[in-house]
Amino acid sequence: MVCPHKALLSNMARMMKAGKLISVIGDEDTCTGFLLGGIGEMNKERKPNFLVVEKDTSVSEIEETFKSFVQRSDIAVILINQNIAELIRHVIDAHSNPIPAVLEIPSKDHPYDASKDSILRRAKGMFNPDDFR
Amino acid sequence: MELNTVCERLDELVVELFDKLEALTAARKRMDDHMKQGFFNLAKARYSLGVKGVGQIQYAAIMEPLVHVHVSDEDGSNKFNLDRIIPSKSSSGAVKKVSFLDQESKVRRRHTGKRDEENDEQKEGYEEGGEDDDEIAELSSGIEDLEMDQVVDPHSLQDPLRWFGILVPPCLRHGQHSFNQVIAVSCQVASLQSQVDQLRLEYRQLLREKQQLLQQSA
Repeated sequence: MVCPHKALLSNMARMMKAGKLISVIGDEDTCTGFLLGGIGEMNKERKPNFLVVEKDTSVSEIEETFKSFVQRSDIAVILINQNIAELIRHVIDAHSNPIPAVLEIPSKDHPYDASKDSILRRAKGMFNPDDFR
Repeated sequence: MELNTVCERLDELVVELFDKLEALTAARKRMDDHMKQGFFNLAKARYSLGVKGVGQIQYAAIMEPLVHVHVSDEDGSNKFNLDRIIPSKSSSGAVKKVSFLDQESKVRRRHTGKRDEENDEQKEGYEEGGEDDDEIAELSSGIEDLEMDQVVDPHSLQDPLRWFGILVPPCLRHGQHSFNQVIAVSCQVASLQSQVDQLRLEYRQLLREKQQLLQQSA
């Protein structure tokens, strides 16, 4: 009989060796492109590491999915279309942990706008005029 | 820490931050270009495969990631390193075929050897018998090899390109290449973002220290 502690350790060692995942929240073309790149995974609970956002996808569903990705320990990077990130901006701004890293990417219809990016806005906020008085 | 040292360190941090921001902007630009190219190739593939030919209907029910990210700590910030698995070229992607072909040739040789032996004299038959044993030993070791191959490669990692058919248009292949590059650049962007965030925190902390030192001196 295999010791459960040893089995857990070997499972952890295998996970560490395998590395973490990249997840995507985006429109159909963005998800298709990244899945072609080989980031897609369907885990044992049949939960994917991507969400295809369509016209009828609700904001709460996007928010829930983002939160679930943030809580998953096997995800290192979350890629999200900037126009979708705008819908859940308050959740993205509240996320301050370095892992998973949240990257805002352009979509087919909406080009990337640096002034909307959470990380760059935080960097811009460093130089407060009151600090230089 | 003295006020002068804090001020010098703050200046160094600002210069370092602007260097990182410049690198981040350049990486973002590269990512945008690759994504644009990828979307263009996907649109071309959709034109040749049909409107429903490239979409989520084609996604496989079982997916195994071919890309993994290893996160390492570097000077307080996280570095994201990409690790890619290259899937086998066969459509099933399962067992290697090489050893199986070797077995067939060995078996055939063994039978012809036996037939010749029946026609020859007894003395020569003894010698052939010795060679036969060697061949049997080789054969059994070959079977072990074959079984090992089947054990070693249990996962059938499939190229996602196969979800869209066997003979996919070249533009879909180019699109996949573009998105592979986007994934590689996204790891660089994530590392740079982490460095910018780390510098920001260090800068805020030093700025607070500077304010305290100024208050003490006043």
